[in-house]
Amino acid sequence: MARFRPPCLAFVLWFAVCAAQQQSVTSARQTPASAPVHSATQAPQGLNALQGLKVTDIQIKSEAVEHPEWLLNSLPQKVNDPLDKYKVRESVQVLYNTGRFSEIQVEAQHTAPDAVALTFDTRENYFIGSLNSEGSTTRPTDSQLITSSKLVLGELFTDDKVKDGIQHMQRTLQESGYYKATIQPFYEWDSRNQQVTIQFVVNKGNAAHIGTIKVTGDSGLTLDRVSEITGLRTGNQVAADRITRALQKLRKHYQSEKRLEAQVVMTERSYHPENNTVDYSFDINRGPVVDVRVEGAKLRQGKIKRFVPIYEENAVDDDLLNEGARNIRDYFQSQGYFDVRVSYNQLQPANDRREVVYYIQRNERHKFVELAITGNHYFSREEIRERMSLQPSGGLLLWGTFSQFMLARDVQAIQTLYSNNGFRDAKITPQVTDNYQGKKGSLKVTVNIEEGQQTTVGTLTIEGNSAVSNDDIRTMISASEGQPYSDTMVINDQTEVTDGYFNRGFPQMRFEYQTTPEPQDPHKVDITYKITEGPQIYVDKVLYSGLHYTKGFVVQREMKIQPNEPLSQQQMLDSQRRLYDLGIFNEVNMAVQNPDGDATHKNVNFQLAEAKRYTFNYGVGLEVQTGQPTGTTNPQGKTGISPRVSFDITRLNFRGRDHTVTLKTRYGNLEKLGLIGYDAPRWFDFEHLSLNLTAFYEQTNDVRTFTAKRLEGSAEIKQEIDRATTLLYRLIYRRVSTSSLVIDPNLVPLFSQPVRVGMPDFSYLRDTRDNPIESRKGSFTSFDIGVAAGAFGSEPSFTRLVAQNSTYYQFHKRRWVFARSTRIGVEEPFGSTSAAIAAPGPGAPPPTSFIPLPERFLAGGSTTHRGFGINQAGPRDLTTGFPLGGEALFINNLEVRTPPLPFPWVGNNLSAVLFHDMGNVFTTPIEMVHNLFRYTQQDRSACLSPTTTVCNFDYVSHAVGAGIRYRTPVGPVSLDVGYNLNPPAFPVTAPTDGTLPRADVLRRFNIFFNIGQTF
Amino acid sequence: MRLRFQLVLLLAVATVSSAQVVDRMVAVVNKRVILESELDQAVRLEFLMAGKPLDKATPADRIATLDRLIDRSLLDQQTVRSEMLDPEPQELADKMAEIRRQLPGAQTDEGWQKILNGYGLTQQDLEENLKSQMRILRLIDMRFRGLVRVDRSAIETYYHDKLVPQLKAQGAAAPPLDDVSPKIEQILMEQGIDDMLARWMDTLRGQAHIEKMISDGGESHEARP
Repeated sequence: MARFRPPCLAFVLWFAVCAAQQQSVTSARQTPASAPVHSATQAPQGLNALQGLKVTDIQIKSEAVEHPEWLLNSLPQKVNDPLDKYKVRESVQVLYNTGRFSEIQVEAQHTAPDAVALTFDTRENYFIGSLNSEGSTTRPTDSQLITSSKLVLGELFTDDKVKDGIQHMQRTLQESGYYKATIQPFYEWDSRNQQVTIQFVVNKGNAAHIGTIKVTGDSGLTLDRVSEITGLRTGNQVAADRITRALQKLRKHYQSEKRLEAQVVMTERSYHPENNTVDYSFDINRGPVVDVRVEGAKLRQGKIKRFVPIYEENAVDDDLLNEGARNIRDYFQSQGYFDVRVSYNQLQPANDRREVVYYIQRNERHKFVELAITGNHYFSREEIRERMSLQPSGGLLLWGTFSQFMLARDVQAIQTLYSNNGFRDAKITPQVTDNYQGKKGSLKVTVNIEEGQQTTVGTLTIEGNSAVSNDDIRTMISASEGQPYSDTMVINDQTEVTDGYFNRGFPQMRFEYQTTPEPQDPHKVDITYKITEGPQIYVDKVLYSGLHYTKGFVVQREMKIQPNEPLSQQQMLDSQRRLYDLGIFNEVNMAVQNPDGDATHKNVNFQLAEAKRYTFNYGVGLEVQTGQPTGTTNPQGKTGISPRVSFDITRLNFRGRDHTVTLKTRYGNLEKLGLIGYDAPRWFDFEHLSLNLTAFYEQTNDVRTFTAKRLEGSAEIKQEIDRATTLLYRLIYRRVSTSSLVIDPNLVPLFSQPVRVGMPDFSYLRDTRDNPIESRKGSFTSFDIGVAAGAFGSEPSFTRLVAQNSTYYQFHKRRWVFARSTRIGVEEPFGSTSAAIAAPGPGAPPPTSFIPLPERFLAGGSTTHRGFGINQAGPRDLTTGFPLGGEALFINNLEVRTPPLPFPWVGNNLSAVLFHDMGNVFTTPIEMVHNLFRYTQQDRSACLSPTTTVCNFDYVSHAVGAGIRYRTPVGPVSLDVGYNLNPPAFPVTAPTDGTLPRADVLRRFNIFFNIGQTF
Repeated sequence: MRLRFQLVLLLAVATVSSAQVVDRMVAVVNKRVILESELDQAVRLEFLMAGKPLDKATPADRIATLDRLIDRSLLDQQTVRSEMLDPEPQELADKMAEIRRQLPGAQTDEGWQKILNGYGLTQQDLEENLKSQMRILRLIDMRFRGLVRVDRSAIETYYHDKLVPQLKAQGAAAPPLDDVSPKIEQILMEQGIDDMLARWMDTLRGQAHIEKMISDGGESHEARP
């Protein structure tokens, strides 16, 4: 090849690249024009003069360099080598490339006539370590201003960047009317860590006001009317969203007039500093009235607006009208008109009017009766159906769900499924058969699948890796010899390996792959993954800022990223998540300091914003269910609503830690509560240990029999053994008294005297449910045992044991759920009661051991047994008819939960349950054991006698029922109706309302409204 | 004698003990650092090639040389695979020989070394400089040569409008167009490349972050500790 040999360019480059471009270069010469003058010898100076001397030492002078060895190792000039000026220059370049220094000079000191020690004297760069603003508490807030500055944590600090940042902030302030705002930056330099804290002090000044408003164009509105619609008036304070809202209101106004092409823009905004006002100009062109109508079929106006996007886009063009036609077609196809034809035309009946007419030819209505899938061997029909949106008719789908668009989408989804699993030659052919089986309008869709031969991975070769072993890489990837091959798999492997390397501190890692079909078997592909690791980056220091109240160690112990470890993006994210999880920070911003530098060790910067320490919550709630309190006249309670108000104060960041103090108050018909709690996670720095102290006073009225006043203090240690298993150790002290008793006063001494219960308690919890709020699989087991005894300061002595086991199973394509739960509780008094209890009154017989009323088991309601109203199960006071609770409990729930029901309007959010609840509260554990299989109440006729003194409630009550669940972000909202198959009868020998003695049977129907599943 | 010995000793101690700044940054082009020693060496090379005595170098010469180093650095940064552009050893030797042939007194090794010493340079300095220069020339060649087209009409226009009037003015007879066509084509091609290079350099300078650290006497307003 003939080479271009331009002497002109040599001149251009060598002598004056810029200047010579103006000259005629053709005549220039590269070589010297005359003999060199070397009579006056000029010895080299500076570094050039030291060439060849022995380098005895190399130092880096910088306050910020704590580990010079990290830098010295990378310098081309080495100690004990002869000084090479080219290597020294490269060394300066290497140091500069680290990004840590803005200036470097080389110092030399003769340590001998032929030896020299070098020092690289540096001037450090500074990086943005923290960004704060003060002085703007209202919109735009300090936080918004910092965001608008576009300054980035960790990046190189320069004056120009800060100036630009201030300009951006001022623009944001001006949009909110603060044209006279001043912003002053203050700096706090941290030379050891090479970072600077920037504090912007904002003085917003007075907000500007709206001056004049001008409207141009064809608005069809007077200026006053524009002002009325937009709410913009002279003298109003300028605000960022005021103009946006004004434009929206104008557009809405024109939309209400069907002027869908109205153009409303703000053309000018001019500020007048002399009177601090802003004048606005709007250009409005209202455009014609656009009517959209449909011919050939009926379509409600609401649907037209939904399907034709010109209403949303405020524009009328062919693209939008075509999209409307497609939407209308899909709608009619989903209604069974699979052959529907939709077209449109635009008319102009008058100058100011435009008409869009959609012509709909519905044709024959079809019924999508069958979906056949043939030729599939590798995937089951169910696996394929999961990816399809076509639905044959059945159930509530009268016509089925079908459209050509949906069919095409489903075919593509099946194609992707096969392709992703190595069937690169798979062919999916849909076939639509009309008048299927001779039935007019019946439609059958057949999806024919030709799978072809599966392509598998022949050999897998991994090259270029040294820091990560082949075995480790193989754990990251899906590809392996003999597995199905797909391009998607390779792309996923690329992502996984790249992420894996990134998380090991290789930010410049590159991943390339090569796939080669084997010559002898084209359905086998050999894969080569080629990895270029690049340099490994480590963490120098982990820096954090923004702590005012929080102790440093609280932050440090959450840091998964540690000094001298590889710089891992995942560990940074984990640290950020853990800091957020503490609940004491509003913002956790993080960045790698000096992101563009080549330094092998980099600082990681966390800027934290502490949350407000005090939060106040207040609320109003309603509880709707049967068994609501009715005073003393109705032992079964009533179906009704219990209002409730609540007020909570939470103090976060208590003592500079992630400890929380909470004050909770409730006031309602069922409950009055005042609670103080102290929560200390990571007790004694053990990650899986937490301490909770609680003291509360509660007055509950949810048992119809009495009002309980409970003063309780408890200390609880929670130990998380693993993700599923938790142990709770509690010590509980409570003093419970009852009042407003409606039961036989003779029982007062026995059950209702104020008692102090001291009880150590131990719980074992194992939860493997997929979702505790709406479980579909897994199990939940709890075991709780407590002993109240004099040794613990308790007046009554008894043991209490409650065990629960719930399991969840998916069936029928994993769409349905069968859930079951069993709860057993027993209480056993022992020893004797204290003297105070033992002498309830003069002449009273000394009671032996007993369990006080509030400590007894109660059941019934939406979370236990839906055959009873709330707490209505079990033994009752025969005089008044009110429930007394018992010493044993058995509840078993079975529930079938349906998949989402295909109802219109509710999407996939509505489902149903069918349930069977059985169980009861028993007098004693022995009675429970003896009567666990008893279906009917013993001697029920006696219970139906108004004057009887004996009535036995020890049997198992059954209830069946159904409910619906509506999925919400806070869990399913439940409405259940339970029907008690064998409700108990009971006498009321002395009704509290003074009526004649009677016998009652508990109501069979009970309704419950709740949030969350029953179990 | 004793005094002289003491002075020598004092000087020796001073030489051994005091650290001197021997190099510093004078410019940064994007992220490429230019050091004072490079600038000093470039001035010496330029004066050697221009045959000018080094003691005539002025501060303005240094500034001009720095500007050229900056431009060279900008071009250097455009070379992605520099090994493709590296000259062959023989090519480099030929170039060196050509330079020595044109420098009076440089034909002998002794004379050549004397010239280099006179400018405070080494053979390696000159070779490194030539390598860099040749790399850049190749880069420009590769980038622009295929883009410049010289058609027949442009050659004719140059011949009739420039060459013939120029020769007439000198009283010389104009050679036939076909005889000088190749030479005119080369001239026009070089002009075209020059124009493109000029535009490219403007673009590179406009996009680059160039920081000169040679003091212009102005005040610094940096917010730095």
